[in-house]
Amino acid sequence: MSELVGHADRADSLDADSLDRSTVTDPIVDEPEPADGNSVRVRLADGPLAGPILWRVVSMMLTRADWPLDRLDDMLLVCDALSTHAFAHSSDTTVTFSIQAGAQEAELRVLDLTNDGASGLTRDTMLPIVGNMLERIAERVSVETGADGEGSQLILVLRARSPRMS
Amino acid sequence: MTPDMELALTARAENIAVVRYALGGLGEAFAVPEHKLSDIRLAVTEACANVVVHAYPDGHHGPMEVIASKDEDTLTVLVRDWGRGIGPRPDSPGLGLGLSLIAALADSVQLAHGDIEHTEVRMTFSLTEPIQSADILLRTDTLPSTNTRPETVTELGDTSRRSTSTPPEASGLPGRDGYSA
Repeated sequence: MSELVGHADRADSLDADSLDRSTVTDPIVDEPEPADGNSVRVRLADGPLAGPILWRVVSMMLTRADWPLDRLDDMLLVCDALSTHAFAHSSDTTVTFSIQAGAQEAELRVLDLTNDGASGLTRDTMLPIVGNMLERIAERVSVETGADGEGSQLILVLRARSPRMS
Repeated sequence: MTPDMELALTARAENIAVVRYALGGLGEAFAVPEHKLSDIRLAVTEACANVVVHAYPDGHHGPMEVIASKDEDTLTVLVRDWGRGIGPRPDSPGLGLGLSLIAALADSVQLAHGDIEHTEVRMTFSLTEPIQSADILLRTDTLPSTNTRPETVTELGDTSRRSTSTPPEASGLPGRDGYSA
């Protein structure tokens, strides 16, 4: 078993150089504003993580907001599509997703895309016969300029009980 | 080094579940052994719980970040907040097991706060080897002799020292749950 805070016997052997700085990172933002209780921002590196993590985060938030199972399933399709195609349109090797979930409506944003990235990402989710998957599932799909005036972001709004289901 | 995952959320109890769930996805993607993933989840949960319970004044829910980076066979998880920092808290509402649990589960632990304006708990986990030891490093210039939060803290790693064998409350090191009142 390891030790708790304490044990001076090894203190002398430690110096600044012994610290591994390789994984020290800057905060996502310097001093973030307190976020809404049911919103999360997740930045993922290109690789195998995107799908499993994005889906888990989104589904946890929607479940907490008491979304029905069929719409959770829809969101799984959306997350799969986004995590598969978003990195091809990212301005770097990461993609940032912002999720805000309420009992009636959820907003999923894909941030930091290239200028044409949001449109390209939408196009990439086109399926034969089905058409554009995002537009089929989400109540609203829109493209905006990035928050800093550069690049683009894709915004999807889904309702917990889609009128298309009735 | 680009982190593999960065989560930014509000320091609320219910969001700890989001972090745990996300770590499950990370474990799946990196094929982390289940027993190791359980350790990681528990340690990170404790670190996040410390933020939720201690970092911000009662009734306030500030930001919390969880950042994970995998480097070959090592996973580093950093839990960060912008609260009141780490220090002894004799009136802690918890059992005071948070940091000791983290130390028991992680291969190393580093704490940092002060001038960098945010508080960090950085845990590293070997994904292959059994736990060898857990070192809690408190990165400070000077450790206060009273129950006050250290005011002078350097950039990460500029100076550091391992904690002393005196009780945490007496040494100024994080005591109980590790967050100051």
